[in-house]
Amino acid sequence: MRPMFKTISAAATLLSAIAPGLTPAFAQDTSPTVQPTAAPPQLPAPEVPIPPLSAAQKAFLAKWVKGGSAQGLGAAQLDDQALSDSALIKAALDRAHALHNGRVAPSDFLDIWALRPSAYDPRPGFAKAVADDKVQAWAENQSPPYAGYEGLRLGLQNYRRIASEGGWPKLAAGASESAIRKRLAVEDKSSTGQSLTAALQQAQRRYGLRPTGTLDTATIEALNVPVESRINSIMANMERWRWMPREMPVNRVQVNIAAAVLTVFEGDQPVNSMRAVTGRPGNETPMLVSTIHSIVVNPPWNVPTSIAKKELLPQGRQTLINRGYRFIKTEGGGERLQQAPGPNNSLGRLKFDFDNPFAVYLHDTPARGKFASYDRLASHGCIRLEKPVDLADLMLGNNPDFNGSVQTLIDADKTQRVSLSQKVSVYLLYWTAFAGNDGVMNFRSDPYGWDRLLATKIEKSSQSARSNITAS
Amino acid sequence: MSFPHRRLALTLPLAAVIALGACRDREPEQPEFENDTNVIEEQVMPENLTAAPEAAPENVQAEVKHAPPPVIPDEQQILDDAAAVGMTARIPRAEDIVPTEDKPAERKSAVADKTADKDDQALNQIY
Repeated sequence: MRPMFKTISAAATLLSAIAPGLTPAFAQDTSPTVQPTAAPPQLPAPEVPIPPLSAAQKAFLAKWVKGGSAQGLGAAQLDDQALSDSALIKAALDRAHALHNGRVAPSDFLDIWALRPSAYDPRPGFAKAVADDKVQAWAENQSPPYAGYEGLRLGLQNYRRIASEGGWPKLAAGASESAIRKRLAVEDKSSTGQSLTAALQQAQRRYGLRPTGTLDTATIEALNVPVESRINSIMANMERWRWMPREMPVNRVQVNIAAAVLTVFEGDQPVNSMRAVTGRPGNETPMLVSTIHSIVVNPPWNVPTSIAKKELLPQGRQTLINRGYRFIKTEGGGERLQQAPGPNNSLGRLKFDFDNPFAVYLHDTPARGKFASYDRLASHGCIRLEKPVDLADLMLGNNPDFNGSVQTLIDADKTQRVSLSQKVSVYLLYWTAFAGNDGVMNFRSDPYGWDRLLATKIEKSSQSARSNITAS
Repeated sequence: MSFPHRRLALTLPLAAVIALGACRDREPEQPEFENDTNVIEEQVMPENLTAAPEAAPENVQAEVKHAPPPVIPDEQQILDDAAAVGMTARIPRAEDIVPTEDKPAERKSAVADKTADKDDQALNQIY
């Protein structure tokens, strides 16, 4: 395998066996009182004075603050009244903050949306832009600087146009070829030059469905999602982009929870990807950013209390012992359940640890069959990997001590923690709408229902911001 | 079988299947029980039943044949997956755009230096 993560040059350290004291496993065992790490509170700084606006600056800002809908910031518009200078400045600062950090306040996030934007005060930059007469450049720099966001912005324009033209008709089973072709072309003009089978397969890939090339039930359902729902999805995903950090490490792992896929970036370029299995609805995988600090080879599974009580202990103590589980005494006089390492261990042979309050991680699995499925939201919240050995190889890269030896470590049948001297950032993200490399929109189902919830929150926050501005 | 035993016999396999959901697929890859014929009840044919003429089925659809999946080159799949996990390529911004009247060589080097600085910062963050 081509060595990846070439920038990892320092030796990883092989630490002692770690059978006891491993991190408690799996999501949903987290106390609801545990809060994800949020941006530290900022002490109020003296308010930076804004220089007087020129007529040209006022004209630009007046137009800019009325264009929030094009950025997916909600339908509440400031287009029905003239704004005073102070209201215009207030609106500009509000718009900048919303574009930079999101329309929805982090205090209104679900705990499991643990990807939080850093604190941002647009006022100093705005004051400087006014003084330097660079307000337009300042305004353009407020939105996320990523191609993913820009693709959604263009997609929003397109789907709003489609909505204004009446959307699309519903397809029924047995629809004629011409009806199918017409429907496909609404979203993807390139489908017109293809055979019907190829066009359907292309659409199915855009929806993350099995590419059967036939108008099956799942495809009909995806094609019949109303355009308004697609617009809401695009808006929700644009909002999530605003939560992303403005700078990302060039070497990192990104997971799309909704699509159950993982991509490895090296030097800011994708170098490998694999299928994953993510949390089933009810056991949602959290959105978060963290750093992978170590890999556990041949891990035991410390069964979370919730899973032990609900799913395992009812089988009876002896049955569990016969199946490789062991009961371990705890300090408080109780006991906890642990599955011994081995080929049948639920975590497989490799576990990638990163700090987070949800006790989730990436891991191998002995159940490989699910990776062939196109519906791979089936875990308790952790992320199962199709190619965990490849990922471990990538992370250990050029390290001479470990070159090509991950499998050797596995074959040793010994539980070991390999500590990465250079940690690898990991982003667990929830994307249900994204532009493909050809610019055509792709959609995934909203398995956790977060799009609809977030779209509602965006509208509510948009209305509230509008009221605050117009009241000033 | 007495009622408690029968209830136990019904609940144990169910509990086992649920338990396999922990860190595993919902559906076991292998059948849980082989040669388990107990659940198949013997069909009793009523006597003196004259076979009715078999009616021609109506609206029988031909078995739908699915097309083979398109072959996606590995490189294309990686790019597609990269789009799915979030396209983080940076788009040029107003501050990045240098007027074309400027010296091209200076412009190029400025961009390169900026990229290098960014990479260094990123390297310092995680590598």
